Amino acid sequence: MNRESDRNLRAAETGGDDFLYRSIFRSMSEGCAIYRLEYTGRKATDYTVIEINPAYESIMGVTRERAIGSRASVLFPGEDHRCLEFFHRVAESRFPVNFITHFAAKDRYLRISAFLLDEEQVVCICSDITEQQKAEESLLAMKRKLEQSNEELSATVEELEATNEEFEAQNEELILAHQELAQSEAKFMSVFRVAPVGIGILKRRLFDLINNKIGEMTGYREEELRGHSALLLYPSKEEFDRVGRELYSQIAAHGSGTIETKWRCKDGSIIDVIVGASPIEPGDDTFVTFTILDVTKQKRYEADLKKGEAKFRLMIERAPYPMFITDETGNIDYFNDKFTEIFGYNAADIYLTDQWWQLAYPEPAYRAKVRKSWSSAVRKARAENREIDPQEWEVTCRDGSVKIVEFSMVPIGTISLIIMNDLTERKRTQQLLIQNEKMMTVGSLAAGMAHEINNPLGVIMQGAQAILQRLAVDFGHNQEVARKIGIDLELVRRYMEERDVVDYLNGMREAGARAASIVSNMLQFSRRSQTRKVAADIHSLIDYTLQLAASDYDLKKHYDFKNIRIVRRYQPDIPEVYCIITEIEQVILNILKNAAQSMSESTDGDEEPEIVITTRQEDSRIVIEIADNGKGMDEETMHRIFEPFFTTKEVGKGTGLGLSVSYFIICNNHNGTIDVASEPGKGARFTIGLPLEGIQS
Amino acid sequence: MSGEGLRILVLDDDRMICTLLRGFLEESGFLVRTATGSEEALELLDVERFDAAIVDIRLPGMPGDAFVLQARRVQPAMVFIIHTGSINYQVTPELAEIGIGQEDVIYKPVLDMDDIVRAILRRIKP
Repeated sequence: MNRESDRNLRAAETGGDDFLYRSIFRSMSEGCAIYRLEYTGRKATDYTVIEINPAYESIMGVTRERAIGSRASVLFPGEDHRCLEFFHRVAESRFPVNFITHFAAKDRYLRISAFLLDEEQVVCICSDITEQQKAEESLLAMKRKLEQSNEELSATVEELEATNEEFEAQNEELILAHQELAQSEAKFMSVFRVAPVGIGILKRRLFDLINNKIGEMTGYREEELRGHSALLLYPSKEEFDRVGRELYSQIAAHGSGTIETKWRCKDGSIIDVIVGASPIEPGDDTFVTFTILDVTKQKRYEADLKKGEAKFRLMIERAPYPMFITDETGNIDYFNDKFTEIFGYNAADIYLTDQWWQLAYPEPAYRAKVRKSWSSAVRKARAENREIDPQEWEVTCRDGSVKIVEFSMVPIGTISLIIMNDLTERKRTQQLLIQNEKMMTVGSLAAGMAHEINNPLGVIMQGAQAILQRLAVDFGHNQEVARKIGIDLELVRRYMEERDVVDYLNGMREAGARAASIVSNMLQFSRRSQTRKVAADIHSLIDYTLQLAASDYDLKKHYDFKNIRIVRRYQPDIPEVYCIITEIEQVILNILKNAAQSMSESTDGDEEPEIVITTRQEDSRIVIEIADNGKGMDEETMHRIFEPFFTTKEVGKGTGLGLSVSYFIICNNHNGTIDVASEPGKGARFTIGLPLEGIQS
Repeated sequence: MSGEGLRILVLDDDRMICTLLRGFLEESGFLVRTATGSEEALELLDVERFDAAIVDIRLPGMPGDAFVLQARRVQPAMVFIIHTGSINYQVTPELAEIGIGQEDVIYKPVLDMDDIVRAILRRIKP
């Protein structure tokens, strides 16, 4: 097209179809202008607009009127000189040039084709390629950016590749390390999980991590504790603060701390725990690992143990039996209060076992016997690891009294526990029971026998009486019968007297009477008193009995009661006692008779015979004491004095039933007690106890 | 002491007691019959009149106190003396009702048989 325009323009210039060319020129879509180069010397320094078309006007923003004849430097001030240089080159070389320039005034990119019209004139065809150019430019910019990025990327890739190699090498190590780590973590986690202690981590006393055990202990789930203050588990704020203070000060001082405290579980129960704590980073107590040991059971066990120990100690201390404990060498290690109470010996008396032997068994032969029996029993017990068969010995107490004691021994390891049982009272009670039984037997026998015995006794006694009567000179039909058979009754009577037959017959009667009275007395043992008990003033009862004793025919015969000094020590205002008055009188009379007899036999002539009668109330019973200063009695007599038929009196003076009957009356009929205390030469003291509540019978 | 012809019945299962009492009482002027059982004694009551009876309690067959109650119905004027070997014998309420008291009881063995005579006479001749 350029060639064609060139030709057209040439034709136009040569004056050919001028109009045609002019109309093409005017309707062209490209801008078209004719410039005349202005030279300074040989160099074109400016150009002047000769002609422009409408397209040019719109592209360049100038009007034809203003443009034609104007110099470019005036028309387009400030534009670069690239156009001028290109036009100059066209003029010099006579070859067309195409170039692109930036029209700054309108910020437009223009493609310019320029060719030489004649020596001084240049045709310039320009089209606006601003859009094109801008798109290109942005493409280019993008391309440059991309290229730059690409460069950077390549660099990075290189680096990366290098790093990757290193990394892969490291990675292998890491994989190994990681496997180990995973293993050890698994191990740790399993320990953490199944540890029998609570383990956890606190962050500034807030739970960060806890194991199952803590859940088990407290009843809280992990999520209920995590993030919460440990205060949740303390029974009080004070305790929480105390534990915090103590633990963190221990940690500060030693790097770790331990403290015992109490936790409150979810259900409200309190457990005893030992808390151990240590910071994860030494010196920084932000994160603290802690362990919890539940010692509730141990605590309780300890407390129980302590309580149990105290209980058992108390049991031995307060035991109603004397006990002592010997160590492995046989020395007395301990004895209880009851031991001292019963035997009187204290720690100062028997700190060595041998002292016990000496004191308890002062008689050497007896001691040797006890020791021998004891050591063989202990040996046997130790060998078989069981308690000994109980042994009974007479132990001398500190006050000199003798007690019947049963010994048991239990070996406990190397030590021995010796338990004693004071049988003295029991033995005595047993004796009394036996005695009572004996009397009951006699009583029931007597009841059965009485009738059978009394009939033959009647025959004997009445027979004897009848014989005596038949021998009497002045009785009934005696003389009449004697005369009828031709004998002198007087002589028969004298013969009988000479030959003591009368005495024999009287003796038979008396013996019969005595036998009858024994039977009668024996019957008392079987006879439940049918008489009702009445309330009686014990003092007037005693006084009346003293009167009876003073006028007693038997007493008068042997020992005059009036010579005995009677001392009454009555407790004033003593309550009345329900009793069978005649029976109690009988008992007192019996004792008085015995006392009188004993005093008459006393060899101590200087002492005035004296009976002291004392009365007093002891709790729910009345006690009557009758003490004489007679000859007293030995232990054997004392033990047997209430036995039926036991008597120290010479034959004929007593039946041996008086005190048995007394015993029966007091113990059986009145539910009371009767007792005697005496020593040879020191008189005797009978003590009668009558219950005050004997109203029911 | 004289029985003055008073008629006495002795009831005791011990023949020797009967014999001894009969001998003693007859010597003392009483007219005496003896029986060793209550039934025999009641038969005697049917045929003879008695002023008094000396009665043992423990008897084979009918006991003495039962005999006394029957005898009183047969011969209401009779007096009774209980003569027993049972030392703890006490007059029964039935006997007390017909006027027999503890003073009418004489316990065996008696040392002096005059005590029996005195007891009878106290009842018959106050």
